[in-house]
This record gives sequence, C-alpha cells and structure tokens, in this order.
Amino acid sequence: MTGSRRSTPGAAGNAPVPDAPAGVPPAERAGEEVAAGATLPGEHAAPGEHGAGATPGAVSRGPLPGARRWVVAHGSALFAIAVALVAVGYFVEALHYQRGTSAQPGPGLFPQVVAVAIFVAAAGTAVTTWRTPPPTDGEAADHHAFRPVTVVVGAVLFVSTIHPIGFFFAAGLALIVVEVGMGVRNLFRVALYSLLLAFVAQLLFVDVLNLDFFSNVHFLSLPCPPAS
Amino acid sequence: MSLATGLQQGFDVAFTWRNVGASAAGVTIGTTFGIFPGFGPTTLIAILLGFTVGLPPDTGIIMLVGIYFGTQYGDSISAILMRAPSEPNAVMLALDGHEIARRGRPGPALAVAAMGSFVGSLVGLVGLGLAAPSLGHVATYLSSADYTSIAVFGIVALSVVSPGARWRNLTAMLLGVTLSTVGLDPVAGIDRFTFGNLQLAQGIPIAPVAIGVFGFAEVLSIAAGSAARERVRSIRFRDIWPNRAEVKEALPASARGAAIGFPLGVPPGPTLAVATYASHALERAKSRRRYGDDRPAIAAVAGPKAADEAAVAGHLVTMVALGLAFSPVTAMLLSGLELHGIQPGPLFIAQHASLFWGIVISILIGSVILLVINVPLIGVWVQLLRTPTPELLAGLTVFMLTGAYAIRNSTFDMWIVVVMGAIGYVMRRYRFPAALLVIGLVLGSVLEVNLREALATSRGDVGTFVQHPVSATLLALSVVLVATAPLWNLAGRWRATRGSVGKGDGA
Repeated sequence: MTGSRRSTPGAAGNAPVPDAPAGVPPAERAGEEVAAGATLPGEHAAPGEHGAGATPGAVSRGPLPGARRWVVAHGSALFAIAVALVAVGYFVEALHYQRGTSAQPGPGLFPQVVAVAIFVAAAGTAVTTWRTPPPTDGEAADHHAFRPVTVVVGAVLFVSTIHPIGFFFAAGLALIVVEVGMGVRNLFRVALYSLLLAFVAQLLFVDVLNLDFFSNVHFLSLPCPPAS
Repeated sequence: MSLATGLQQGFDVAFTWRNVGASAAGVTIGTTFGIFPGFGPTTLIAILLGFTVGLPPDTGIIMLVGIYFGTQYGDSISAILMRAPSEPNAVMLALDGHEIARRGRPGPALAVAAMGSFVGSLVGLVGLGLAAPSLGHVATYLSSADYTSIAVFGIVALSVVSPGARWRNLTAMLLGVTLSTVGLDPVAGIDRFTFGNLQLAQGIPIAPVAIGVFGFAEVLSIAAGSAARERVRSIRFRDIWPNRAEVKEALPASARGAAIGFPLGVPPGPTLAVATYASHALERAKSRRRYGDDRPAIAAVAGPKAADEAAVAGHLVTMVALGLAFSPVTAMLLSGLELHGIQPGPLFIAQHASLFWGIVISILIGSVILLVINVPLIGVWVQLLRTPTPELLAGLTVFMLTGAYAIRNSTFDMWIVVVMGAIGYVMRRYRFPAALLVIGLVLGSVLEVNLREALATSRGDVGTFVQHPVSATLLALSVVLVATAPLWNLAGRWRATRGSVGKGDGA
C-alpha cells in the first residue's frame, strides 16, 4: 500500500512528496511493486469511468490465480449476463400487469418494452465484451478485493444494529469494522479514532441536528423525538 | 420579467445573512471534502443532500450550489497538486496545472483556477439568466410527445456520445429506467414490482440511489485500490499569488473558455468534459505557437476551468427550463429541488421566480466566497490531505448513511444506499458508467408518463411523435446519432490520444 511514488525531478518548494499511510503493517508494504510514473484517471479509463482502477497509488501484486483471473477478465460479460437474467425476471413480472391498448396503455406496457430493450442491451454487452474483453479488466491484481467487502459489512452492521443498540454504539461498531478491514492493525488507534468519530457523529447528528435517530445515549441534554 | 428585475429579485433572496451563511458553509464544506481524490461535486452533493432537507428551500438549494462550487475547487486542488482529479472535467487541469505545480508554482496555478472559475461563473450566470426564462417560455408549448422525444434523445445521446462502450452505456441507462418503474404506477395507481413491500410502493427515490452509486461506491472503489495518497507540502500565503504576466495570460483564456463552455453545456450529453477538452486544446495550441511545446501554459488551467463552470450553467438551463437532468451534477441538484417540494420545468421560473433568481445570484455569491475566502486558505486545505485514508473512509461510511437516513427518516433508504453502492461499485469495476444509471432513473419516469399521455391523447396514433416538429427533429437527431455512432468512437479515441498528448506536453 503506497502512494504513486513518482519522481519529481526539478520540483521545488511545494512539490508532491511520497507517503504511505500510518498503521499499515510492514508485511503489506513489503514486496509491493511501485507504480511507475504518474497516473491519471484518464490514462486508465475513459473520462467518467474511472474508479478503483484509476485510483492513484494502485499497486500491482502480480498475476491472479487462473479461475479468478478468468472471472475478472470476463467480469463485464458476466455482469451483463446477470443484467440480462434480471431483465428476463423483470419481463416475467411485467406480464402480470395489464398491457392495455396503444390508445390506452396499461401499467405493463412500458416495463415490457424496457425489459426487452435492457435484455437486448445486456446481451449486446455480453457478446461484445466476451469476444474482446477490455484490456483494463486484467488490472484486478491492483486491487484489495477484500476491503470493499469489509466496508459493506461495516455499513450493514451499522444499519442493522442502529435500532437495537442505538446510534452511538452502531456507529462505533461500524467504524471499528471498516478501519480494521482497511488494514489498520494498531488497536489503540482504531479504538481512539472510532470513539472520537462516533462521539462527533452522535453530537452532530443526534444532539445538535436532532435527527430522529434511534438513540439511547445523549451527550447533550437536548430532547430527541421518538424513533419512527 | 427583465434580466435586471430578476437579478434584483435574486439579490433580495440570496443576500440575507442566512443565505450568505449557507453559501459560505456550503463552499467551505465542499472544499474540505472535495480536496480528497475521489470525492467530486456529484459524490459530495449526493452525500450531503440529506442534511439540507431541514433548511428552507432557498437556503437548502443555495447551500447545495455552494457545496458544488467548493467541491469543484477542492477537485482542482487535488488535480493540480496530486494529479488526481475526481471528475472527468477536472482531468484537463491535471495536465498543465500539475506541471506548473511540479515546477514550483502550485499557488498561482490554484489561484488562476479559482480566477477561471469566477469568470466562468459570471458568464454562466448571465447566460443562465437570459437563456433559462426564454427556454422555459418555449417549453410551455411542448407537448407530451415532445417530452417523450426529449427523454429518448437524452437516452440515445448519452449512450452514444458518452465515453466507453455504447452497449454498456445503454445497459446502465436502462437499468436506471427499470428502477424508475418500481412503485405505484403513475397513471393507473397500482403497485408494480413491489413484492408486497410498502416502502417500495413509494418508488425508489433518487437521492439514496445517488448516494449509493456515487458516494458509497466511491468509498468502496477507494478501499479497493491501495488508496494511499501523495502527501503535499504546505503552501505559504505569499506563494499563492500569480504574477502580472500570468494574470494577463489567464484572464482572456478564462473569457474564451467561458464562451466555449456555456453553449456546449446546454445540449444533453457529457458536454462538461467536451467543453474542458475544447478549451484546453485551444489554449495549448495558442501557447505552443508562442512558447513551444515544453512550457506548461497557465492559460490551459484558467480556460478549461472557466469552460467547466460555464458549461455547468448551461446544464442548469436545461434542468430549470425542462425539469430534466442530463448530467450527474444536475441530477443531484434536481433531486435537491424535489426534496424541497419544488419541481423544475416550464412553469418553474414563473411559479418560483424568486428562488430561480436566488439560485442565479447564489452562483455569484459562491464564486466570490470561493475567491475571497478559499483561495487565501489554500495552505489550510492542503493540510487536510494528511487525514489517514482508513479513518476517512470509515467516517464517510457512517456520514453518508446518516445523510441518507436524514432525507425521510427511513432506515430503508440506508439499505438502498448499501445495495446501490455495491451495485455501483461492481459497475465501476467492470466499466459500466454508474452515473448513467442515476440519469436513467430520472429520465425513466418522465419517459413513461409522457409516452402514455401522448399515446392516450393521440388515441394510439404513434405518428404523433413525428407530427410535432420538436419531437420529429429530436427523433431524427437520435437516428442520426445512432447511425453515426462509429464516428463518435473515433472522436473518443481522439480525445484519449489528446489526453496522452497533453500528458506528454505537461509531464
């Protein structure tokens, strides 16, 4: 995990300097290939499409194992096939609604037309990307595939525990999960930041903004309306 | 209403302590978050939308406009200092701007970007003030067949002209259209695709979807990449100011950029990026003739920035006058207006004249605040870039879920954010433009309601779509776009080549 360690010859004064975030285990830093040269989202992807692959500082961890590489290489096509399957399900469900006539269109007409259109579009995507997988799809080696999962787990924990345990504890729990998932191994730092952020969030959203949140802890004695 | 009367009305609305304070807060919040790579205007507005719900409509919208300007400037900072723009329209700033920063003058590059932003905003607000009421007046004569064709043209244009594969663009757009059909049928009033879920019966709201697709998916994308950022050294106050020669070069470039940007921003399509590309190409060509290839041009920072701001004002014309959004940012602002119970469209300016002119003036206020407060504080914003990534992402996760909850006090909206965020992440991962999903969601309901109305009023005669001149023209343009799709592919490749040529120029 490192920044784009580009050299900055001739840079003076305020030139960017390389940095790696604290709290990252040395093992994770070791053996990384440093991305050569400056990266710009437009270089990896067309404008508007940049995402993780375009994140400056992406590191290469070598080739992926065969099965995973196959899935990644055909990811676009697989996603398109999934969308096509959804379109089929959507069409079947749309058949339950009246299509009506052209003079008096019913609630089923538009969804059925859209279902056919999206099926065609998804099938077109699947065919074109299966035959010629986009070259950038092979860049999956640059990703920490597990980290987004931990962020989603943190978010799910926050939403599902906010009712039973209240905003402060749910936020704290989510913060801990996301930070640990992001690779912070210093437990003191995790606890400190989580407590601090949860405290600030509770103070701001529940006590000051008085959001109608499920809250069983109040740091300010402001009234909180009952949860909906 | 004349422009002068309208502007007077706008000043009355916008120049209250509350609204100026909201604008200043929006600009500051926007810059604070926008400085982090990955968090562009669309993402930030999506995240913060929910927190403006409790405010009066004029204050809430003015704050969103302020957030937009602040984020745009924050994005310029990360583009120029770190070569890490969050939105495609800031890519051009990262070329010459970053090279100027590398050569030891980051302060003037950032100040000139703010200057370009100011000039672009000024031109944009005059254009918006003049064009939107006229287009709004014309729009009152449009029929449902015309609106149907406008939506079809928007879907076709964005699918064909947007960067990336057309099939994928169309798939993403139609996914959004699909989502728009969930909930109560707008004509017959029966539940569709709700599977007995009462929350789904109300339909899938735009705001949580946008927070998920833009905000949460961005967090997931940053988490998936190594997410480390370059550290930049602090910038001293005295190093910010451009010299006279730089100002002399930047001001005309800003005017040229704004003149290019505004007209390009009005039609549907990814015209923000096109406007900045065009302005950058023009300024690079002028600079190349004068100084040769080696020297980065300060004009190529000011021009694209002005073009960007003016093009956004052009987008706002379509949004305000027709009530349609053809870009992610305007989709967000449209969603913001709807959250406050205001529906833009042909009657918007007539019914909410003070709010419209208030928005126009808030553009001016936002850009002045940006220039007066934010530019001298560049050093402070740069310090924020030292926030550790894990804590930033963890905090943003909680923050945006809370924001989604705040919109309707609904945990269901938080689930929408999580699900749409995961879908948006997978879409980005495999190069499906997730932004088009949100635009499809916006256009889908417009398309269905007007299509059914047009068919009902014409008693099922599909010829109605070619009998109305506006509708016929737009449908013909849609056919032309589809027929000329290979040419757009070539244009996309040319732009990509230009990007790498510019990189070569710059670096």
